[in-house]
Amino acid sequence: MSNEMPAAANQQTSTFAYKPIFDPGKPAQGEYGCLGTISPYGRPKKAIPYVYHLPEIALAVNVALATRRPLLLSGRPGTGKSTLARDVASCLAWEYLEETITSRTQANDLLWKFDALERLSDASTPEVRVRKEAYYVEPGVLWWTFDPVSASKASRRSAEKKQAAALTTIRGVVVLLDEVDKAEPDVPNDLLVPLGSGEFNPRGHDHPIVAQKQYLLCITTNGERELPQAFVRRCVTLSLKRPTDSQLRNIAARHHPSVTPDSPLLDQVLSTFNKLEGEMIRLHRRPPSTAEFLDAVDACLALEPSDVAELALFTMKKIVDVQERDE
Amino acid sequence: MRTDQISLGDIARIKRILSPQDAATWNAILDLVGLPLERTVAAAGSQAEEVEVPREAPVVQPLADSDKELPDTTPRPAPRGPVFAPTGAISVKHIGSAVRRPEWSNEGRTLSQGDEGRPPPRVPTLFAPRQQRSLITAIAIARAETGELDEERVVAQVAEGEPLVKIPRRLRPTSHFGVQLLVDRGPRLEPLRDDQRALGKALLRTVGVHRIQVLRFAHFPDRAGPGTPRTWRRYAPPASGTVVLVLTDLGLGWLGAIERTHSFADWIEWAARVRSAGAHPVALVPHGPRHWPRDLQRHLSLVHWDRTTSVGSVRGAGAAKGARL
Repeated sequence: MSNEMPAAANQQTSTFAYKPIFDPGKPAQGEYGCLGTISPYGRPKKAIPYVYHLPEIALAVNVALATRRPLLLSGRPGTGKSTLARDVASCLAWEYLEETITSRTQANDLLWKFDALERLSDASTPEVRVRKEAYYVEPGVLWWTFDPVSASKASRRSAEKKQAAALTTIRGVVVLLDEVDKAEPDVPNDLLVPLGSGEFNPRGHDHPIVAQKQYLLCITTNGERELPQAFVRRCVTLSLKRPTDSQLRNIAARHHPSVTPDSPLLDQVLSTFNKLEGEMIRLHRRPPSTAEFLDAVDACLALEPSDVAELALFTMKKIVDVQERDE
Repeated sequence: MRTDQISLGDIARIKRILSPQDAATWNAILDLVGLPLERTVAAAGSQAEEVEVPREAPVVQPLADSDKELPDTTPRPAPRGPVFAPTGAISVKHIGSAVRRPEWSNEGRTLSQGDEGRPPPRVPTLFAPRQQRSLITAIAIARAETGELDEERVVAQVAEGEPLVKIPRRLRPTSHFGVQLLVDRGPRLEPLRDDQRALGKALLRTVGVHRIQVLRFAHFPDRAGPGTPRTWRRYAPPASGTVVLVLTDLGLGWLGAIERTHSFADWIEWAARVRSAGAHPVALVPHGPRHWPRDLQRHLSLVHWDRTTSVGSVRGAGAAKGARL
C-alpha cells in the first residue's frame, strides 16, 4: 500500500502552529514490528491508510505524547478511532499492541492473568512438578507495553523467549484499548493506579513492573455508556467528527490509489451516501459512517456493477438494517 | 504515563515540548486537555448584569423528613395547606408534567408576567449529582460467579473427596445481565416525574443502551409495559441475573381518594416471584426507612431515594444481590 498522501488530504494538519513530536506527513524511519510476532497482543507491521482530516487529530496525538496521558477517542462507529492508533505507530516506527475490551474484561486482565486451573491441574497430577506461582502468571497487554523484555521472559510461550533480544531495540509502543465502554463501569477507574504510577505488581513476582519504554495509550469509546468523570479528566479527549465530502473523496483515494478524488464512481457513491445520511437522520437512525462509505467503494470497485448507486445503497443499508434489530 | 488530573504542569510541558506559536493552537490544546478558558472579568460582569434576580424569590418549603435532617435548615415556617404525604417523608419538589396536575396546585401563587418567559428553576435531583453515578452503579449491578477461580472452595471440595462438577468462581460485580427499570407512572409519583426521567437517563448512561429495559406501571407492577397503559400486559420477571429496579413509593404516599391498591403482602409475593426467576428486585423508595415494613425488607432490597443515601447504605441493602449462576 502506498504511503503517499494526497496533498489535499494532508493540508489540514498544518493549520496549527507548533513543533510536533508526531508528524503524519513525515513518518519516522526505523525498524519496528517485532512485537507483532512475539506478543499475543501485537499486530503485524501493516498500516491501514489514514487521512488526518481534522487538524485537531494530529494535535491531540502530540498533546497526549507531550503530557504522557491517555488519548481518549470518541465518535460514532466507523469514524476511524481504532485505525488512528495503528497509523500513529506506523508513523513513529513504534510497536503496536491492541486489546479489544469486552463486558467480561477486568482491569487486572490488562496487566496480567493467573492460570489457576493449570496450577490446580499440576498440583493434582503426581507426574508433574508444581512450579512457583509466577510460572502461572501470563503478562497482559499493559505489561507488554510497559516492559516488553520482562513480559517476554515471564510469558510461557517458548517462541517469545528466543526473540527477546529483538525487544531491546524497541523505541516505543502504541497500545490501543478498543471500546472501553463495553467494560464494567468500574474498570476505567481501576486502571487509574497502574497508569498513574506507571508500575504494578504481578502476582508471584518480587519486583514491580515499571514502564521502561515510551508509550502512547489510545482508548476508544463508542459512547454506549458514560465513562467515569475521574477517568475522563485525566485523558486528552478527541471527538472524531464526520469528514466533509471532499475529505471523504480523499480518504477513498488514499485507500484505493487507482481512484482519483474526482472520479465519477466516487461522485455516485458519495451522492448515495449523502441521500442515505439525510434519510437516516430524518428517521432518527444512525447515519452511515466513513467505514460504510469505504465498504461501498470497495464493493463497487470489486463487482463493477451496472448501477453503482444501487449497489452502494445496498452495501450501506445492510449495515443499517443490523442496527434496527439492535435498537 | 501519569493519570493525575490535567494541571498547569501539563501546560508547561506542552509549552516546552510542542512550543505552540499562536492563540488558535493554544485554544485547541486547552480544549483537548479539558481546561476551560478563563472568561474576562468584563465579559463575566456584563453577563451577570443580564441575569434578573427577583427580590423576593418564591420559597418552596419541603416537608420535613423525620428520618434524616435536611441539609437546608433555614428556620422558615412550613406552609399551611393540604398535606400531600401522610407519612411526612416525601419532599414536594417540582411538578414536572403538565399532563395531570393535582388540584392543590391551583392554590399556588399566580405567576407574574415576568415569570412566564423565565425558565423553570433548576431543582436538585434526589441523588446528589456527584454521587449519582456511583450510587446507580451500586444499585444496578449484580454479582455473579464470573470472577477468578475460587481456590478456597476448590480445596474444600477436593479435600472432601467431591468431584468438581462445576468450576467454582468468585463473585464479581457485573452489569452483564442487564437492568429492568420499572417506573411507577401513577399519580402518587407525579411530583417525582423529573427525577424518574433523570434517573432513567443516568441509568442508561451507566449500564449502556443495550443492557436496559424500561417498563411502566401504575401503583403496583402486576401489569407493566413500555408504552401506554392500554398496552400493558401481565408482568413476567426477566431472565435470571437481571436487576429489577422499581421506582415506587410502595403505596406509602397515598393521596386523598387515591388509596392503596395493594398491601405489603402483595409486594412480598411479587418480590418472591421475581427472586424465584433468578432476578434481583430492588426498590427505590422516596420515603424514609422508618416507614418500611420489616417483613418486606427481607424479600425486597429497599433503597432510600434521597440526597442522604450513600453507596454504603445501598450496598447494605443489596447484600443479597449476589447470584450463583
